[in-house]
Amino acid sequence: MAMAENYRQQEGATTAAVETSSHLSDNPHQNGMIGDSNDGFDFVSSLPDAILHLILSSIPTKSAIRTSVLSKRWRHVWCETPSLSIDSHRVVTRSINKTLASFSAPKITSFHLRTSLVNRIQPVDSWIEFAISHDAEKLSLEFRDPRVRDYNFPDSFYTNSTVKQLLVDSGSVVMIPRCTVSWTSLKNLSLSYCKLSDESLLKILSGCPLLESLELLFCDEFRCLDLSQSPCLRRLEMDRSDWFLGPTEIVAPHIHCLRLRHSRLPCRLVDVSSLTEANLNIYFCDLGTLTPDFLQGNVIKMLAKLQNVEKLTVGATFLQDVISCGSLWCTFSDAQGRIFDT
Amino acid sequence: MSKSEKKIVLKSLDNEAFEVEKAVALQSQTIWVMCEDKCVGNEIPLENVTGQILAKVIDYCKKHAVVDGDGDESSEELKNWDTEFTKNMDQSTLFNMILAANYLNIKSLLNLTCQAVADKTKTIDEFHTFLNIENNFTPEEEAQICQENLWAFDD
Repeated sequence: MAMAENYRQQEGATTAAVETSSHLSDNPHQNGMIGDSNDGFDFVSSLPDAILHLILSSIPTKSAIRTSVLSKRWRHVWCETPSLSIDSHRVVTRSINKTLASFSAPKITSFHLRTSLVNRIQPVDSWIEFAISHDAEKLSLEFRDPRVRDYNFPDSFYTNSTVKQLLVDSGSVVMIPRCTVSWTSLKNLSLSYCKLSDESLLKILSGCPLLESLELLFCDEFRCLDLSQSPCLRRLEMDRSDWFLGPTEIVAPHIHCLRLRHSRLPCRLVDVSSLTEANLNIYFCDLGTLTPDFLQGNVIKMLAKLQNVEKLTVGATFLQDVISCGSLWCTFSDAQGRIFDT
Repeated sequence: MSKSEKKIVLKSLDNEAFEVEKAVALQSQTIWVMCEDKCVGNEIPLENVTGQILAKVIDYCKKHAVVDGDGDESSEELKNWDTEFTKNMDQSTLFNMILAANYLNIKSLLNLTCQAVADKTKTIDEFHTFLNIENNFTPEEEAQICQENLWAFDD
């Protein structure tokens, strides 16, 4: 069977994985069938645009643009790639604006932007708005610049019904939603290095009714993490350090999986009653102010909240604290499937 | 369900027959629709895929199928397996896998194989050499295109 005919059959199949459009009529290679070995033949250029877009989706936009000089076939392919990943460091603002203006896909599945905010607040606003107006389902924003603390995300950022996955690595930006937050499709939220007051965090959480997974990596300023109003939330991951203290209280009655790493301040698990899997790699840093009794007391309280956990993984430092509370540990001996990771 | 109903036969373009668990084959949306429509018997002809490629597709589907408690492979192991799976594929096999994944509508395999092509072509030179793409621009045309998005060509 001629290859061109093969392709045509695929185009006709209503169940094809991607919509194919024909660029095959001038295919010089008509004699092979799928599975033949044809060294030296330019296979990739004969693929339908939709598949080429899929290939270009997994490389940075800069590299995707470079494919425009490969051959005439590739001249405009990148313009419709549904996934954009732009690292704008060392790139002048108007170049990015020009690139976005040549972009012609009606919808974006994924938009990743890494940029400095210095002297760029207005363009960054417009780039975020570009992603939102193209219905980006996955939005990832990285502002690695500690010099800018007072950036305000545009209101359209906080009221977006299409985003399902949102990652913000904000440098040291203080996130203060000025409007009501409405992320009605959001399932995965990951915030890194964000400063959030208790009030801002509550505002954000109340705007994500479908939230399933929450990552708070080196986020600070809020002291109580109350997730009781997030009924779909199953997974919580939190990284802290000596500089990013994070909350001292966690109220998360719906989560099944908890991962906590590092902690200087003792953190109280107020309600984690649905928890089945926990990974605690934490230490209570003794700065001379915390007595051994106090530390042990905290470990005991934490363990008492993990009675129903089926799979528990603990880090070495926490394990030492656990061992020093040996008598209490016996009460857990009937539990199933515990794992100790030292 | 009797044992025979759990199996299905996939027949390639070059008439090679593969008997596989239904749960394995149904990762293909195309086969799933065919089975739903009951337009085929227990033997499904796949007129676009050769036996050589179909065997590889089945390997992939077997690894990714969740069959009666068999699916407890960790996601990391699976990821490593995927990397190995495409690592040494020559380009014609890789493209035939893409076409097969597209035709059979196995989204994860399509993503994996497209990713593998992207991984092998980090630079424009690699596109030309690995993918055999012939440049049909004049130097003037090429310079003009570079000017349009200069920042993408600045190093």
